[in-house]
This record gives sequence, structure tokens and C-alpha cells, in this order.
Amino acid sequence: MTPVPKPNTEFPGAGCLLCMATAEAAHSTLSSYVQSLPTDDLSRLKEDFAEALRKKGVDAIVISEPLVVDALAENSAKGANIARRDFTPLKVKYKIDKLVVFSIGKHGISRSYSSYVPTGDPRGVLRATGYIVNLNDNTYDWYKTVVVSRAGERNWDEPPKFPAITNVYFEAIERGKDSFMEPLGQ
Amino acid sequence: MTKPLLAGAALAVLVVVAPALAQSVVKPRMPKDASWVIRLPERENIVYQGVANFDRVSAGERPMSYGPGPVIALLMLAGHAAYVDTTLTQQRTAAQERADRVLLPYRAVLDRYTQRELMQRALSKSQMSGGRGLMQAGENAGADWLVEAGVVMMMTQDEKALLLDAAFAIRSSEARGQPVYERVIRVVSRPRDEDDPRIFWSRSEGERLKEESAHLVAHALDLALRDANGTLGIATAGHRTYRYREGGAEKMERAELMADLCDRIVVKNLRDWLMSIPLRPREGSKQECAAAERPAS
Repeated sequence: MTPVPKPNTEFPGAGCLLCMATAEAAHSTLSSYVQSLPTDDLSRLKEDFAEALRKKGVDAIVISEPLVVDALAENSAKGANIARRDFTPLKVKYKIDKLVVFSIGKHGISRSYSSYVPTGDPRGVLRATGYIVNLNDNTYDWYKTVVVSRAGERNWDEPPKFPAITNVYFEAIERGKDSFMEPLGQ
Repeated sequence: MTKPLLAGAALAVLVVVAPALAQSVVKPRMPKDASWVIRLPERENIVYQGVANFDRVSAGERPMSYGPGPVIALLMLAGHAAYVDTTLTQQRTAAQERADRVLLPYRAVLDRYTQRELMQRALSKSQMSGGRGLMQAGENAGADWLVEAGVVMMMTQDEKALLLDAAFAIRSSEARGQPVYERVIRVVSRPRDEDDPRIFWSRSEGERLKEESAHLVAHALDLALRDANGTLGIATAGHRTYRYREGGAEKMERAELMADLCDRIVVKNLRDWLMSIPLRPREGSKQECAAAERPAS
């Protein structure tokens, strides 16, 4: 699994610098709170996936350290279904044939804007990618992008603990994990 | 369409519920052997709503340009904000009105179902001792503890389940002013898997619908009394995301476990509400749970 970034807020539609600064300032308490949310549920995705693979009879191990994909060498081979980075050295390092990678792009709370004006209530979001690399030829056996956006309740502005927002954030995480687990019948 | 009278009542009840949303109050415990009465609210009708989905409420992300000049820009900004606010309010209202249509086939039954009848049925189903009946709003409870509940019933859009939101306030026999216990309790019924739930609920002039509603209220009442007298349990396991069925849909709630009641659990959510949510029946537990569980299974 790639390093899990801290959850954060985003304000799509706040398109100009001043609009973004205004949106950030209006949600500073919320942003601080969201950044403090635990990421344990998301980090557990690799254990849950490995467990599901084991139930299918696959000998799966969990690599505990984070995988920094950008630190891998560029793959010299190009073409469809071929990984852009060279994952093959990991075959020897971990004594494995295939590597499942989860890359968490963005997770947190998103509130849409039209310039300076918020145009909806905050939503829990998760954008992540999962893929399986065949370490014999560095090709993808499976590739899935997951985008989850969940709306909460109307009464969301409840500092300091923002219960409705916290709930939709964790729901987005769970729905995203469900999407990754779906091919395994989980 | 929802009757204006009921829409007004819904607003009134939500206003009653709102202070309890802000903070729950659980002060000195109610004695386990205390006698109590339920004081009926002033209004007679019960608020029934459809479970609404506000997922599509949005005014979009189109960029706007303001101006020319600061004065015109500010005026345009104010106008834009007002327009977006109105749009969102209209969308939310429309979503709730659409959701409320699910209750149209039951209106004739629900309009005749009174708070007194609901509470009387709930009282007869309660497992708690000490209940001494109902009293009208404004009556003196004497030496009994006073239980008040603002209830809102909801039906899912697939008509498979009912939900109850009940804001409870319990006052001691000595001090009638500030309640010693205030909490919102949500109860989600086990989903009905009949081919046509409408036929099921409408049978015998809506008797099943009335009974299920009363089961939910009785269960919530028992939870409130147990919570107030300290026999419900305390949350110790930490927060996690619980999954449950709300009709045919899977819902999630971040909460702490308070009690395991056979085929349902009671959790305390992030708002400090208690929620009683149905679980999938466990292996071999069907008969046990049928006896133990209050809401109809």
C-alpha cells in the first residue's frame, strides 16, 4: 500500500485564488478537524484484502511497510497493460509472484463551490486505485479506480466534532473498501 | 401530497427534537423501582415522513465572474449567494415532499392514529416495570417520574422498514424543571421481506403498521428508561463503523456499542443518540431472538 495521506478538505469550484482562500478560511475549523481523523480503517484495507485472498486459497502476505511507487525505476517497456514503474525487483525482495497495490489519492471531505459561494453540503470522499502487478512480466492483472462521494445530513455544521461529517467520511471509506473487495465476493 | 397540517406538525416536532440534538443529558440516575407516567404531547396526530435522500441536492460548480467594479461585484455576489441558497432550499423541500409520497396509501389510517393510541399500545408492549399509564399535557404527575417523548416515524422508500426518532425527556418526582435525562433514540425496524409490503402494512385497516410503530416506540421507551436507570450499559469498545439494513438499503453509522440485544444492537452514535439497529439473524438464534426482541421481527 502506498503511504496513506492525511484526510483533508477540498473545495472544487472555488476556482480563483481568492475564492480558494475564502473557502479555506470559512472551513478552517472543519479542515483542522478532518485532518485529525484516524486513518486506521483505510490502512486496514490491505489486511482485509489479503484475508479475502486467503479464503480463496491464495497464499497472501501483507507487506507492512508503505510502498513508494515513485521511488521505483521507470519501466523501459511501454505498451498497453504494462506498468509504468518496474515492480519486478520486489519479486525477489518479498518472494512473491504478484503484487497487489492500493494507492490512496484523496480522502476527506469535499464541498462544492461556485466561485465564492458554497453550492452544496460537505460530502465524504475517497479516490483510490488498486491494481495487481504480475512480477514476472510487470503487467497489470487487474486495475480498478474507486471514486466514492457520499452526502450526509442537512445539519452538518456542528463543531467541534462534526458528527454528520465524520459519519459520511467513514462511510465513504467503507464504501470504497467494499468496491475493492467486490471482485473477491466480499 | 403531504397534508399541510402534518407538514406543520413535522416542523414542530423537529423543533422539539433540536435542543436534544445539541447535547444529551444523563444526570443522577432514575431509581430502578421508580414509578413513571408518560405525558402525552399537546398535539394529537403523529408525524409520519418518508425517508428522504438528499444525495443529489446541489447547485453545481459553475464558476461565476463578478463585476465590473467592487460595488457591482459585491451586489452580484450577494445575489448569487441568495440564489444558491434558495435553490438548495427548494431542492431539499422537493426531495422531502417526494419522499413523503410513500405514505400516501396509508394516509387514511395514519390520520386517524393518535398519539394516545400509539402510546397506549407502546405502554402495553413495554417490558419495563413501574409504568402507571398516560396523562394529558398539563396534568400533574404526582409522585411519579414523568416521561415525555417527541416522536417522528419514518418509512423507507421501498416500504420495507419503519424508523423512529424519539426525543425523550425524563423528569424526577422531586424536581419538575430541568429533565434529569434527555436523549434522542432512533430505532430501525427489521426489514419486511414480503413481496408486496404495502399489502402487508395495509392488512386489517393498517393494523400491522400501527403495531410496528408501537413496537418501535415501546423499544425506544425501554431503552430510555434503562439508560436513565443505569441498566443499559456503557460504551467501552471505542468507535467503529456499524453496518445495518434500513429497508433494502445498507446504511452505516460510526458509533460505540452499548448493548447486544440478540438480533439487534444498541449503539451510541457521534451525536450521542442511541440507535437500535437490526443485525442479520445469527445462526440458531431465531427462536431466542423472537422472544427477546421487542420490535416485530
